[in-house]
Amino acid sequence: MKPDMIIAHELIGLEVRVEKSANRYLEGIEGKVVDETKNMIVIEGRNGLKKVSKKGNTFLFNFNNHRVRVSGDLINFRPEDRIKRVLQILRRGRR
Amino acid sequence: MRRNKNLERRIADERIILLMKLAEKEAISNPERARRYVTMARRIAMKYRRKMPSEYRRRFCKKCFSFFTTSNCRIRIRRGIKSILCLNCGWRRRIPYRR
Repeated sequence: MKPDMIIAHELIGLEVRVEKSANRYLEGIEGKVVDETKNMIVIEGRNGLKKVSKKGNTFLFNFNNHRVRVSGDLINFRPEDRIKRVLQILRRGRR
Repeated sequence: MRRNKNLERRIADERIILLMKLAEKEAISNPERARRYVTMARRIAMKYRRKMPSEYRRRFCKKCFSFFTTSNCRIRIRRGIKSILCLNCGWRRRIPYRR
């Protein structure tokens, strides 16, 4: 599977790091994704569970030794909707 | 523009298996989380009309979605009926079998 497909794939279980955020206290949070809703990602790291909004934040996912930078606005869908919606976006060529 | 449904289904299948594996792993240490994973896997399966893989189809409660381990379900074999009792919600599933 191509690494850029992870935005249509399962995020739970992946290692993630919040790379860029309007809120500087969120930047640098890293850990494992343990849950996902339409608007947020729950990250389990060293300091317990952190709920990070998808909208407006940039995430760095570690996937099969590939590091993939994903804008949170691209994955701002319900987890089960994401397959359909993201494939549409990818096909239109917007990244 | 047409949707690429084959690709959608393939990703859906992969995600269902992944989520159920995670649920199996978390079932003992973190049953609430396992339940969430089962719910998500089921939602994906329903949305893209995929079957739950046969190895997982009987491993969770259809009422409360808790993942069965050795401690939260009771399986009894009666005459022609296998009954699985969920100890979380008390729901009993009866599965007929031929003797």
